[in-house]
Amino acid sequence: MLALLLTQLETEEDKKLFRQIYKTHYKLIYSIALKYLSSKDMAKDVFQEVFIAIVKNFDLLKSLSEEKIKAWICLVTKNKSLNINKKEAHSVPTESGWFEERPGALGELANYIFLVDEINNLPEMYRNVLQWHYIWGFSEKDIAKQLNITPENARQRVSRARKKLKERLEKK
Amino acid sequence: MTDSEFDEILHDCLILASAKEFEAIPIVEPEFTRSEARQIEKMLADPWKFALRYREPWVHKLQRWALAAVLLLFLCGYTMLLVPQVRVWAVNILTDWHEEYVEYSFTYKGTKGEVVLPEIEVTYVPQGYELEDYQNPFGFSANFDYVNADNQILAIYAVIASDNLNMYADNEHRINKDVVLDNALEDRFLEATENGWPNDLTWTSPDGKIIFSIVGHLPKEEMLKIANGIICK
Repeated sequence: MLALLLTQLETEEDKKLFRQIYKTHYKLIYSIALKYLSSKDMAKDVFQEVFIAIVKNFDLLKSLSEEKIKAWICLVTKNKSLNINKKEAHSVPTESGWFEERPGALGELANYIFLVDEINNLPEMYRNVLQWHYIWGFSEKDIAKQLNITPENARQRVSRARKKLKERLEKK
Repeated sequence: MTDSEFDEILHDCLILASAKEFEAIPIVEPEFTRSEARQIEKMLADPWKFALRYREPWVHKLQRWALAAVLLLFLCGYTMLLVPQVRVWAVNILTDWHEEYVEYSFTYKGTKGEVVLPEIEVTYVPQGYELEDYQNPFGFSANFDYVNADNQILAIYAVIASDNLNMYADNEHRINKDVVLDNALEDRFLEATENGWPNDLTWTSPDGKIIFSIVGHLPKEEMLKIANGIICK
């Protein structure tokens, strides 16, 4: 599969970027996978799946900054790792709208960068539902399915996490 | 700040947070096997070349082609069995191809032992050819092998056309040309169409009881001259 997708990397620039992404992030990908999975073999499977996702979304990655490439890779690796044992695995979105660079976005973000730390200080349960909802575009029903809870519970978790962060922002 | 503005900021912060989330993670070097490491090295050296080489294992390709061939054969066979017109068409094609490109046969339906191969004398061979070998096994056939300085062989062969004897001439790399040979019941000249292949002249004696053949790297005229110079004593 990966080999088939690699045929898309025709130009020297593409090959160079692919090599660069590999060399910069391969240890991180493996380490994240290993954090969520007990077996090294499973981590290797995730490792390969992430690179498949990288090549599939290569046009998107070409348009992203290094920081966002890293974020994208972390998200995809985490998602793949969390779902490797599940029958109904999440599908990594191939539509790139959710991750595109917005002009001036980082400039605006500079004022709210403390939110990044706040997000990481949230309990993982809340952090995950926010990521699934705001990044992957999961509906409450999808989140409920993933966590084996009711859609109403899922809606409450998203709402609580969001409210918590908005309150922090308003206090600032 | 409106809700939608906050959601946009939240979206971007979540993306950055996901990278930061793993900043403190202990970094582990993947333990690849030697063959995995080699493959990765190849993939990074030239992803395009790697992709072409490894995109499908040859065993899978072979299986696919074998399955396709079996299906095709089955379909052809099934159609031939069920549709008489297709059967007739296939047999016609096969017959034409067979006659034109595969073999000629010379059959003498006489009685065994009826004919004895006479003494054969070759009175003419082109300059430069020397007799290298002569064989006359059981008095049934005669082989004359001549060789020139370029190591090109001129083979002359005579054999009795006994019961149901078929003599095959390879004409896959040769094309049939008309010739007229003195004292022959039937004659065929196969001219080589590819470099390195010799010409072949085959004919039967006027009574149809002896088959002659000359194979060599010589033009038609020379071969006819050799043929006309062969004497049965």
